[in-house]
Amino acid sequence: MASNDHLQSWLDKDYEHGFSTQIETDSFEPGLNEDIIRRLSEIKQEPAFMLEWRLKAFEFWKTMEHPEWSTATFPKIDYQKLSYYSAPKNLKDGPKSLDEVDPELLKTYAKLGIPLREQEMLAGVAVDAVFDSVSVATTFKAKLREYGVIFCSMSEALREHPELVQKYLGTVVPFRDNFYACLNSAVFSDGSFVYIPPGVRCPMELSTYFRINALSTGQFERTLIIADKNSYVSYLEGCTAPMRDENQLHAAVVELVALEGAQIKYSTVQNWYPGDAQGRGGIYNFVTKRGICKEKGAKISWTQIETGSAITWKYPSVILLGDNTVGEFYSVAVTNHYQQADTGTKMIHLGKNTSSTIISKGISAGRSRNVYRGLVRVAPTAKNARNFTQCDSLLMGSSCSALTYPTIDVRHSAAQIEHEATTSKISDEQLFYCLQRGIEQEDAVSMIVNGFCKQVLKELPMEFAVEATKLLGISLEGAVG
Amino acid sequence: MNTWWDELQSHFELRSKESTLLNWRKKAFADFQKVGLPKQKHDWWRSTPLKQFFSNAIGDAQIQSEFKKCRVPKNSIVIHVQGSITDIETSSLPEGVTILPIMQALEQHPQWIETYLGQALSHEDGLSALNSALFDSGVLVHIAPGVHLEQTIFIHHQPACGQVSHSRTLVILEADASAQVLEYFDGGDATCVLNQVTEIILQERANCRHLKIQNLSANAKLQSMLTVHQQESSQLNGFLMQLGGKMSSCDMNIDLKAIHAHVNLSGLFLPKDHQFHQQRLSINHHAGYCQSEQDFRGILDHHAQGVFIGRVYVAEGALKTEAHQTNKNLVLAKSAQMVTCPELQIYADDVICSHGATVGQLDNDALFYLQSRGFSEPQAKEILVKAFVMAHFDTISDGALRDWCIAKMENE
Amino acid sequence: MLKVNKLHAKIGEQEILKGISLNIGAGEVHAIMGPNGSGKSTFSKVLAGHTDYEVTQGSVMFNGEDLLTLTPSERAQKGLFLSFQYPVEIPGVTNINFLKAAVNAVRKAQGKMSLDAIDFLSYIRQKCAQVSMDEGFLYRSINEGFSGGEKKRNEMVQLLALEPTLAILDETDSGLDIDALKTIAEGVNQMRSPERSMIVVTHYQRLLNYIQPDFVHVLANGRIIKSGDKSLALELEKKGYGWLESLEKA
Repeated sequence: MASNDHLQSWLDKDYEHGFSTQIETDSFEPGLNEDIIRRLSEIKQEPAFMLEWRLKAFEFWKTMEHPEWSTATFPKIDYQKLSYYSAPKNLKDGPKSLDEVDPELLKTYAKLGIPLREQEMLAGVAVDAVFDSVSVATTFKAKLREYGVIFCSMSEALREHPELVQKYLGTVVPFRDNFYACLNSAVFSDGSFVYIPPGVRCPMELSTYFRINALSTGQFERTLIIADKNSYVSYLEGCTAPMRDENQLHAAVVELVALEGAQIKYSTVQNWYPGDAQGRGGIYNFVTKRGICKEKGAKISWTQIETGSAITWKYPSVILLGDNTVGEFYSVAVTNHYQQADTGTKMIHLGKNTSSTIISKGISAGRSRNVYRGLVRVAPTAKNARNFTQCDSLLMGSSCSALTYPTIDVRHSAAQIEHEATTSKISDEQLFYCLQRGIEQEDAVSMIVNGFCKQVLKELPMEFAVEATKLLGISLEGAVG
Repeated sequence: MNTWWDELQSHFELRSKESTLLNWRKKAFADFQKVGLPKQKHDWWRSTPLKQFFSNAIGDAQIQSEFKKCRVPKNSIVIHVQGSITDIETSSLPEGVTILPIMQALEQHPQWIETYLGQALSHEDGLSALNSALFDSGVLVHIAPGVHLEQTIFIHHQPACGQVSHSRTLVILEADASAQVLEYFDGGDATCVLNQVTEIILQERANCRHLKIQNLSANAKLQSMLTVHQQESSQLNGFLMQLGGKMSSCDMNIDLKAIHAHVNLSGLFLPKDHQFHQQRLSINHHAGYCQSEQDFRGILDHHAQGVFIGRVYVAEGALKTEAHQTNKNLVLAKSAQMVTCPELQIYADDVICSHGATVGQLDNDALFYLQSRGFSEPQAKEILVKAFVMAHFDTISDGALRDWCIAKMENE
Repeated sequence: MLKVNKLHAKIGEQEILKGISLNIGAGEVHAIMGPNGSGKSTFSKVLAGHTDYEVTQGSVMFNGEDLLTLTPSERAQKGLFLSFQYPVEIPGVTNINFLKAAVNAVRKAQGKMSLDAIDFLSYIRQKCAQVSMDEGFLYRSINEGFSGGEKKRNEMVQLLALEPTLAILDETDSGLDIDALKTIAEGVNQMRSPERSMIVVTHYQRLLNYIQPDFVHVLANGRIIKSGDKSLALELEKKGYGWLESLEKA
């Protein structure tokens, strides 16, 4: 079919970031047992409560069964074959400024398109660059300190602010929650920690880059963001990874806590290696992300652009506990070749006058499968709950699929819930209309896809918009004039 | 007190003594044993309060149930089904129309039975397998090619007291035939459970209107399944209304097997006072160029529980499919509970599919408007609720039938 | 400018164009009329390169170049414009962004500089004014929620903005009332020039009162059965298509 050919070339983009850095790493031998966990905690100089929590989680994990419910198919992972710690040798004590960072690493970041120096000067974005399992550089700590904002690695937070971590860690995603969250709780190596003090509007967007480098390293990042009363923070998470033959596991946990009147905006642009055209060697991405609008007037928004990763399995959720709280979820998920995405969101309405918005756009091509799973639950206590969900799928090609499984569970009469979903393809007529106006095929497809995703793309912070559009392979169109 | 399982075994033993369908029944029972009784973790049953549904004590099957007649729509062919008794009131039928108790049909029309019985039914949910193994009543309807039956086929089901009954209706419309079937359920009590399956086979260009009205007594339980196979250019108009019963599940499975088939379904449930009403659909587009429209509504009152699962499946290669589904629910009381899961499983690209679901209450602005024009609050509510529901009845083109259905609803 | 020689085209297994030959010189306006099913729209779409249709015989030369070997976007970039009878909707893509992309694509192909946002805005504002199109429409999605008349006016804005050398107007008048028709016709007439040619496809003579053609061709059953000047259109209106069919049979 003619249109399939047109669209296929647009989707066949070579993965640009395929390379790895030649730096020695000090890694643990493969295997998972209590001893490994103790060594991990010791090497990071963690406080006692942390080791205790890790061990409890590990004990519980041993009793859990690998989840079977997803429609995704993948070979069983042998957790004893993975190594749970990998650190660049010369960075055990952490650098105090960029000058102390290994120049090889800086070169790596430059190749990835995030030259820290440029960012420092122009965008003013603080970057907590995570290289494998240990934080490499945290810039702008000084500037943020002025505002009282804490933005550092999880390891550092455990050393410098243990009381804050202890108060909130595991309160949004308890280790019993699910199989991967439990594993993460036991063996997480690092991640980001953010605390915004009361009344502070964080002066810049906070951002993190990940990379998985060494073979067979599970990536278990743990992020905790706490926005105190009436504060605001916008956090960006973007990932790239090198080409590998062996599948790599990524099982992160992200917890967001928004107190009274606080707002957290969490944006993700994900560009994992998707597996080659035959479906070999991609990243397994199982993430538990959850936010709690704990007190009244709080607001949490999740925005994600997902492309790549052989298997994606993530359901950013918001628990609307406080009254008058707001939860939002904006997502574009693109799958191609043999990728499988199983994503969606859960909005749990508990307080009064809560509202949630879900806009999910799925684009599938090749032989991929794109699944949306949503849950909107209105508890008997949630008077005047409001939800609007729009869930659209764009199918490109005849061998891909889009599956939509929303569940709406309402137990309070004064609720207004609306859900809409549509499935379609780019019509030949639409394409021909653009072609006849002189617009090239690729540009036409990009334009139409962009129009399809517009509602989501406009939620992204400006800096990320560029990365996002690169990923979607189109030039972003802003309003003119 | 016997458990379900023991009862089922002994019922099956009884059936096994019949000579016809023996192997077929055995296989069905084996299918049931494989799947077992529904479990909460099974997708299809995940929102059903299973314990309550299957908590019956099975009573004494010796109790004779008395069949209570009701007012029947004009110009109908009337059939009564209760327990293992199937009674056809009308004696003379037009040419080309065959209506028999299904147990008789097993002997008199083995060719139809062999070709069509069970064709449209998968045994995935367990209970339909059980029905295949144990049914001992029900109707066979066969309309010959090109025959248009004007009269309504009115099948009046009343569950038999003190037992779990299994009843099977098989409706076969050959090419270019048309007919209208109304299955009406009433009566029953706390000791009744009815497991009922209707299979409809529509050959090319056949046209069928099927109505199912569930108006059981407040304590009875019903599990019913309507499963349809549609061939090329056939048309099905389905209408479903659930009014009574303690726990009632009316499920539909439609397989569009060939191009240009069309199905239009509308459903309504009105649970209140601790009633549980469930409507589960599975619309499967196996071939291209087919269209399906589904409009399901619920009005939930005090302590009511409602579940809607609407699954639309479009197979790879089913091009130019058009499928549209809406589910709108009005929750009138705080204690009511509604779960709705509209699902889309799309494996073909050149399709247009949509679904929408809403759960809400009566529009305050509309309520206020009516009150400002002199209606009392209860009157205003009634007007709005009626408006919500009335659009449904427009899908019944036969005036007499429509009025009959509306009357049944208003009595509730 | 355009030389069509014995053009045959089919859709699926059905042959629609059965040997069309036509010559269009620079600066000329040709009207193509005919009953429903005669192949008028097919002819327009085949010239624009719609993939539903397959050319089985014949040739088309556009300014000395073989048109049939070019892709639709290449044909557009060389100056061919088709105003659609039923313009399609593209949700999420705003008119202004679409127009800017199209105009710049054509400019790029012609070796000209792209217009930046500010220049483009003033450029397009002018064009909107020429067909009395409210500027607000620029920020709506392409044709989404547009009435029939608005869609046709949108086509005109595009015509004015892209400045093609050959404009094919496929039933531009269908669904329009007299006032809308006049506005459209004005815009089209403003585009007339010695370097530009037009093919006006229409079922009714009425449009030709406002856009006066130099030549009129009547299409029936995939062939041109009569050609003449604008008086032919008036004759056709008086006598109806039946008259021509009898001519064809003769």
